[in-house]
Amino acid sequence: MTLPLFDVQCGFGGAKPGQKVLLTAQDCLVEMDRLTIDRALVRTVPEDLDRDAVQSNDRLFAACRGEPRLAPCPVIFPSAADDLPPEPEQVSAFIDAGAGAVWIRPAHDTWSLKAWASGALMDALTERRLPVVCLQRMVDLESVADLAGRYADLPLVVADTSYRYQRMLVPLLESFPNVHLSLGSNYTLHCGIERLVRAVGPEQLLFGTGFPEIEPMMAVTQLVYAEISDADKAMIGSGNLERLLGGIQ
Amino acid sequence: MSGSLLERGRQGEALAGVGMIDVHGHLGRTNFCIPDLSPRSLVAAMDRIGVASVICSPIRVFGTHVEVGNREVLKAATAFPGRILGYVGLWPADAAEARAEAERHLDRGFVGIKLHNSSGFSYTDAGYAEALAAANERRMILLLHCWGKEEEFAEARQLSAAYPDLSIILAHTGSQREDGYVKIAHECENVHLDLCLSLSRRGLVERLVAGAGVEKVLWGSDALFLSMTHQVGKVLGARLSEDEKVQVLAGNARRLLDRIQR
Repeated sequence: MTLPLFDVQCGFGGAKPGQKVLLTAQDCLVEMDRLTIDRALVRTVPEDLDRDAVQSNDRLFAACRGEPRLAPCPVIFPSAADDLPPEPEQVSAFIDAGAGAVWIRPAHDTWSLKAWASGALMDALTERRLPVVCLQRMVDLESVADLAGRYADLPLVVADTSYRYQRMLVPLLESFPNVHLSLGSNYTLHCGIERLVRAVGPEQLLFGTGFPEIEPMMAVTQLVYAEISDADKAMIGSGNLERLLGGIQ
Repeated sequence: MSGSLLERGRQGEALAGVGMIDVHGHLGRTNFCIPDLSPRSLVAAMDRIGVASVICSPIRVFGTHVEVGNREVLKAATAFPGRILGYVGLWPADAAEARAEAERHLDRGFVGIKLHNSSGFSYTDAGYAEALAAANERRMILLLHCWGKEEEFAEARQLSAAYPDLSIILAHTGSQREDGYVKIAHECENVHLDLCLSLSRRGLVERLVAGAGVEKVLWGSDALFLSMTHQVGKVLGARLSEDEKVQVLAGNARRLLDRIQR
């Protein structure tokens, strides 16, 4: 039986400077079909030229509408300056529109993760158990640990990490059961998955690819060839992310 | 077994019969955590994928005491004959000593030399010359760390001309200056490109095969510095014909090994 896969680190629709052609939801689905990837949590990526997250979120939701294989993951940020609805309203609207998670880009969207600047947002997300995707280049591991400790009921997903951070990732996952790790780009660590499963079990590990920037089959082979049980592969491949989405209140 | 390499890889099937050869492997400790440094763990990963052989250099090729790393690779190659092959790493303080270190290992079955410029020495450093000449006489492989820098390409061109019987492999193709790698592969008959790179951009393998020619592109994983199970996916998932994938994964490396004269 083909291992079901639910990609937590995926997207389309964004652009980098000099990029003329934008990838579409259809492009994403074609690649998922080619590699037999069942579902994907999708963001607007690359984010380099995204200065209007409200519009890009709207476009993301529109692209995913009617396509159950794509779960939108919009950007969220505090509404401290009243330029957005209050945080609980933003969270409700996203959940009503089918969001499977949100992602945060504090520096990119000019805000701070310090409690005095993000407390209302994190309270609202925690209230609804809406998972938060944290790319390591935007939210460092120390900040993830700080958030995880302050909001123990808030599911956090670390993505876009590196194979060089195992000395931090293991204790991070051991210390905070609400932290999860995308095994996608750039976690290409020899025996890394096996060691994480031994250290913390499979529950906190998620399959992710890094599409569209990175060749997605690398994450597939790293999981299917891992020296772990089929049951663990099933949890990592799709079961854990399904559970997180099912926990949204 | 039936199905395409992509389908078989998607199922996690060991691809025995392809004869895959990984031209860029390592053994030894580095400054970040690698959970299992044992040669046995590397061979276990190879077994799960179906890789026939990996050519390893010591991770210590980055720095001093490379001879300690050479002994580690020799020990592993002896423990796993045919599965782990060796590149000898060199420190160029003394040309005669470097040549002696090279010949000691080439005589014991190593298939070539690996050089890394993080040591601060250029690949054309006089301290390497005698060892490279010895390898050239035996038509061996020279693996050069490369991060797409113009000076690296320039040095590789010089070595290509000076040692025409070496099979030179430039590592980490696409790290930077993808066009530079393709250009030198066209210019220099004995220069080849390997694929090991943690962040392999989507479509990179296809572009290299189209640009440099399928005969110039070789699979390397960088394991156990990186994950072999991860790095094999870029070729299995590439939009190439089955024959092209087999050539990249196995045939090209086999050709370079077969031309070695002992």
